[in-house]
Amino acid sequence: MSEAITANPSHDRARNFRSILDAASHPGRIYAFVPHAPLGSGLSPEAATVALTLCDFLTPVWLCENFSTPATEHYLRFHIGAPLTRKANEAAFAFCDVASGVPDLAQFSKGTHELPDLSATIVLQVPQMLSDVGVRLKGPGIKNEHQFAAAALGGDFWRQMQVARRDFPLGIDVILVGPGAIAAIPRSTQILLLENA
Amino acid sequence: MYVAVKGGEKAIDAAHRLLSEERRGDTTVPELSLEQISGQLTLGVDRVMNEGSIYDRELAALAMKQARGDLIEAIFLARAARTTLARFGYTEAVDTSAMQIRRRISAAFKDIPGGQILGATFDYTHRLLDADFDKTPAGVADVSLPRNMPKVLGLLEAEGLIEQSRPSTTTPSDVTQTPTSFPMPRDERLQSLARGDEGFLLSLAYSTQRGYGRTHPFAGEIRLGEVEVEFTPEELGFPIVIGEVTLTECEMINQFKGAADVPPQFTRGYGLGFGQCERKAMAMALVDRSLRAGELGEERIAPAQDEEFVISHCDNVQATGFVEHLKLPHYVDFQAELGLLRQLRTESVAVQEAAE
Amino acid sequence: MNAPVYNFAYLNEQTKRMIRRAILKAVAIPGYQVPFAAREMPMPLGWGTGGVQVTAAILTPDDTLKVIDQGADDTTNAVSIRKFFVKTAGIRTTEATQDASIIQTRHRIPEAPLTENQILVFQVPIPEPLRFLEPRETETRKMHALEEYGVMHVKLYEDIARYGEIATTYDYPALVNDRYVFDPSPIPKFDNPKLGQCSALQLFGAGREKRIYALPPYTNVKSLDFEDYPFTLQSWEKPCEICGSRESYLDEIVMDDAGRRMFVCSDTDYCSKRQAMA
Repeated sequence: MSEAITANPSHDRARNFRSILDAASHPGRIYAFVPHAPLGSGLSPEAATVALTLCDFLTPVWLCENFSTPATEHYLRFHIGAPLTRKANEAAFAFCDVASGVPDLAQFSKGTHELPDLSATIVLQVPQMLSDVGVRLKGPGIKNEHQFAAAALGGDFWRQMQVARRDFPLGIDVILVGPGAIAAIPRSTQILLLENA
Repeated sequence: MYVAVKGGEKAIDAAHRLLSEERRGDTTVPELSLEQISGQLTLGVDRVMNEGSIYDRELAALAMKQARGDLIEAIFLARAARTTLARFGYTEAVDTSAMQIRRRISAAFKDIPGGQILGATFDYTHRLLDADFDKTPAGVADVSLPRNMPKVLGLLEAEGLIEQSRPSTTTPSDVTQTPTSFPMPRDERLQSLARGDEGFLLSLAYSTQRGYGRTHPFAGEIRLGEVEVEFTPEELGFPIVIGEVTLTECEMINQFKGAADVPPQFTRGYGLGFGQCERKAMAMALVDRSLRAGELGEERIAPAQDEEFVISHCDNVQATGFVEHLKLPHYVDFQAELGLLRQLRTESVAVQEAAE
Repeated sequence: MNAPVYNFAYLNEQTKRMIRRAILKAVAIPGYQVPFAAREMPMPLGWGTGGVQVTAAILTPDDTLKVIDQGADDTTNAVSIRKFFVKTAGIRTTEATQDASIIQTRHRIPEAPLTENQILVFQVPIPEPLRFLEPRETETRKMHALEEYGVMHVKLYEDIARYGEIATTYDYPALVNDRYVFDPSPIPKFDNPKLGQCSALQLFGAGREKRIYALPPYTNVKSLDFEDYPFTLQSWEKPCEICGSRESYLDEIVMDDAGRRMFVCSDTDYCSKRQAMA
């Protein structure tokens, strides 16, 4: 993987990372996310940008069924050098297209009691995200409460997240990407469901 | 009216200018060249390469010059330069049995296949300071030494007298790329020791010889020479020789060990370093063996057997950074301590006065 | 030998990715020390390389950076680190706390409350709050895993028995998000109340010890104490002699051989702003 550097790609990645960091620091808050990714990933430009910003030869990547195409696998190997894995529990990053269904979160690594950081980050590609509706979120990063909803993420997903939350500090961390937008729900976030969610 | 002290930036700039002047010294005296340093202060350069973890004589010589001869400062410069370099990958494991020997000795046997070859060594010199050292050059015998001299420990292995040296089945990790934790696998320990401070490891090794965790060492073999370095580029798919490096290797034969189902065998300690670094390679081998205490069922009672203690403190760049950081301003925390101490003393005096 | 070509903010992209991943895990697990493969930097280990690596990993060309040490912008190490970032990143710098988007600090939290648009990066020498009670990483790791902080409570209790009060004045341990006891770095305990429910993200970098940890904004932080010996702040008898503040942390300046002393704000920006308003 070439380390040859020009100013702009480094600046782009830095700004991309700040958006991700903002999202992780304020769970459920939707931030603008400007994709910078070569074409041909088979992922949305935003999801590809997250991969380019955070993944590399040290991070095994798992792809959901929709994304497990030769084109995507080649893209990740060529542009990122990320090792691909079919074993979900070995993944450092998982890329999932919510359109093909919500993944079973329990299959990913939650870390260990001594090393809870050795756990997966799940990147969910969603069609749309909204604030001020949906589930109520509480916890670090949130002053009082924050509401969040994403298309195609329903009660099943949020119940899975609640179950996962019980293992804190073990757990998985979720990044959500929509068109031009990014949000995050780290494992520290408490999820309070609305009655009919 | 008190005005807060300013001028930190100017003071730093002035300090750097002064450093520049003092580093050059008397300008009527010829400036040192990197070739002189690399060629004549060879062993200093070797140490900087070793603990700087970078094989580049010119870079190490420049570091020594920039550091005004302070080797730990030079090692720091080398490490900092190393951090910025692009990584292409990892070489194939080098084959020290195929070394082009310049020096090779064994204390375990009187004679060995290939012979005891002293090479260029201080070992039997009389340490008499002499301004005219090397003025009368002796003729050097022109004997080309074979490659592929058999390893002494290989001979013992063949008889089953020493634990087998088996190729590793897992890829070793790189302590400079991934975070380490304790307990540490041997490959990570050896990497840490290889770049660890020679003085610290020397003292620890010495302590094992004086009873702080005895391992009954014999120098099975020490060899110095050049080995080829091979790399497999992804585009080619086969290894190519990209150069050669000078290595010093020390294999210690240590206290024999047996188990209920295994007859006793000698155990091993291993040391390896860039350039000519026997003291370091030997100390490393002694400490390596000492740290294998857990694996070999030995009770850990001595500092040299304490893995966390040895490995946490063997890196001199870390050590000097933290020791010398005490020079940084600490007045905010000192103020906090002063405040508490004054208060406690007032209370203590009051209690004493009340008692009287 | 080739001269190295430096990337934006010095670190190469692979190093930045590695640190960025560690930062995200740290934010997800408030107060937990994430191990990371810290790099050798051009300044000595123990002199802020952890803070510098964190700042270098989060920095963008749009940022304005403030660097302080002991609360002052002009102390030698703060000057050195600020120059490093100007040289390797070309970003704007400032001494004004309210104008900074990233503040790298050693041993103090600025007096002025921070905002959501700011990130505070702490330089940390020893990240492990239990280190001087238990030198072994193998043991302290288990204590954190099992939430077994008994040794710390015993130490505080022994202080009270010996001195009549808790004798820790800086590096004061606190419980984060009701889970991890953490070391807020050698800030005076005076600054501990600023840690909890802060509007800004706070990141902690220990380069030599190779750990990163974080306090997301609006996180609960409780300094350890006992019901009958509650956490108390340091105070001074007199206000700052320059600006008159009774609310800031004061430095003691020795004026002469006779031992005359004066007390002035440690936070130089805070003090000069107040002075300007007077």
